[in-house]
Amino acid sequence: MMRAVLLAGVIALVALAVLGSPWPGEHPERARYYDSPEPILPMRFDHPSHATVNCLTCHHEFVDDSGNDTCMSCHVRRPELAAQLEAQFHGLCRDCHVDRNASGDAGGPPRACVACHVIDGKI
Amino acid sequence: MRFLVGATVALLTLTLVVHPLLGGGVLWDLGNAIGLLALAGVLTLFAPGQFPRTPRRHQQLANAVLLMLLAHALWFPLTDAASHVYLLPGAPTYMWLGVAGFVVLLVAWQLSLPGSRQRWHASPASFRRWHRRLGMLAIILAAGHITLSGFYLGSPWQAAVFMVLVIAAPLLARSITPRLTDSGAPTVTQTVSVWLLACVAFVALRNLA
Ligand code: HEC
Ligand code: HEC
Ligand code: HEC
Ligand code: HEC
Repeated sequence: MMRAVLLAGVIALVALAVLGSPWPGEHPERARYYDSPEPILPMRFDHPSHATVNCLTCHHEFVDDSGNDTCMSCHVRRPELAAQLEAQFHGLCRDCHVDRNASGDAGGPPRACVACHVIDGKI
Repeated sequence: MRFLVGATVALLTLTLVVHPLLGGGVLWDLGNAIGLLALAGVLTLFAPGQFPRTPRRHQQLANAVLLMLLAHALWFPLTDAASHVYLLPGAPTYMWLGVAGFVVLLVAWQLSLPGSRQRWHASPASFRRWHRRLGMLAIILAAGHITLSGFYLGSPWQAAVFMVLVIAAPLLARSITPRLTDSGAPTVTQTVSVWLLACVAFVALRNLA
């Protein structure tokens, strides 16, 4: 009995990992967003809810010599940046949300993947 | 029973010391509470009051722990449609540590069934030795999974205290809990009730404030 339950659970887990969730709602899947050479998850971003954040916190390209382009055109298309996409963007976006949540201030989503990884027509 | 309540409260308190109000949303915190309590369950399995005097309790609790881990693992890819990528190649190391810990427990469970116990072990003593080693390995992998993911145990010293506690607890269990008699060991119903309350407290604190 226990073995059957465990076996069914493990099979369900593998199926979920490969096929994604059958639950209703958004189902972001990896694809070649932002002309990425590799399939990646989509993201969403909204400037008005970040009105309290200094532009330069994110737009380092305004002041440094990295060039003038959209974030994604550099970070997704340049291989050396694409390799660090997750680490750098989670470090920028998610860590700020975590810090604000932890200190009791309004912040964006600190964990839920679907809160950020959905298609956003504007980016 | 007192041991169970004590261990559960200690574990929850430790996760609350640095950022008590940092929540990932009700669904995320609930899924993680189940995982943390499953680890508390693995630690409890090392208490001699559970074994060998009451092998049935030990087996029931072990089954409950495996079901909780399954629930913890299925929870995220079900409720958060983007999270399943963390079970695919390219996922962070701490996710593979979690998967490995689960697999080790499944192996320990399979090897303890009457048939395989004799087939794979030379003697009852060698079974017990290996059973305990696999349990320790699973605890170390799970502790890595929890601390490296770095959400509830955000500061390095908190992660260090956690590591020391979860590794020391099973090693010390036999010397600190020999007085747990059969009647002192909580039943599965008591265990599950205490843990349900703990889940509610953990999630409520982090999301209602
Ligand atoms: C605060 C918003 C935010 C949250 C929450 C978030 N991410 Fe991301 N993540 C991003 C951004 C922004 C990028 C970079 C842009 C992109 O990949 O579309 C990114 C990149 C990634 C990448 C690299 C791209 C790829 O598909 O290989 C992975 C993997 C990833 N995230 C997984 C996750 C998972 C799993 C979760 C939930 C546990 C999560 N993220 C939660 C914002 C977030
Ligand atoms: C929290 C991070 C963040 C902050 C703060 C922020 N932006 Fe952005 N901005 C972004 C992201 C992400 C995009 C989408 C980039 C893309 O399309 O690849 C973007 C896009 C833009 C674009 C579209 C062109 C481009 O470069 O992609 C402009 C213009 C812009 N931002 C200006 C501003 C200005 C001005 C401010 C300050 C008032 C500001 N932003 C603050 C993150 C931010
Ligand atoms: C013209 C190309 C370009 C554009 C546009 C650009 N970046 Fe970058 N970005 C870079 C380069 C180059 C680095 C340096 C990489 C390194 O140090 O490893 C970098 C580094 C970063 C880092 C890591 C910083 C750190 O300290 O680790 C983050 C986060 C980041 N960029 C976010 C953004 C965001 C958000 C945008 C858009 C608002 C953006 N970038 C626009 C090229 C660009
Ligand atoms: C310096 C802090 C900071 C950084 C960096 C930051 N955010 Fe946020 N984020 C916030 C705050 C503050 C809010 C608004 C919370 C509120 O008002 O409820 C927010 C809200 C959000 C929301 C929810 C918005 C909504 O309308 O519900 C999303 C999604 C989000 N951020 C994504 C991102 C992404 C993607 C990045 C990186 C490109 C990013 N954030 C970087 C502080 C930050």
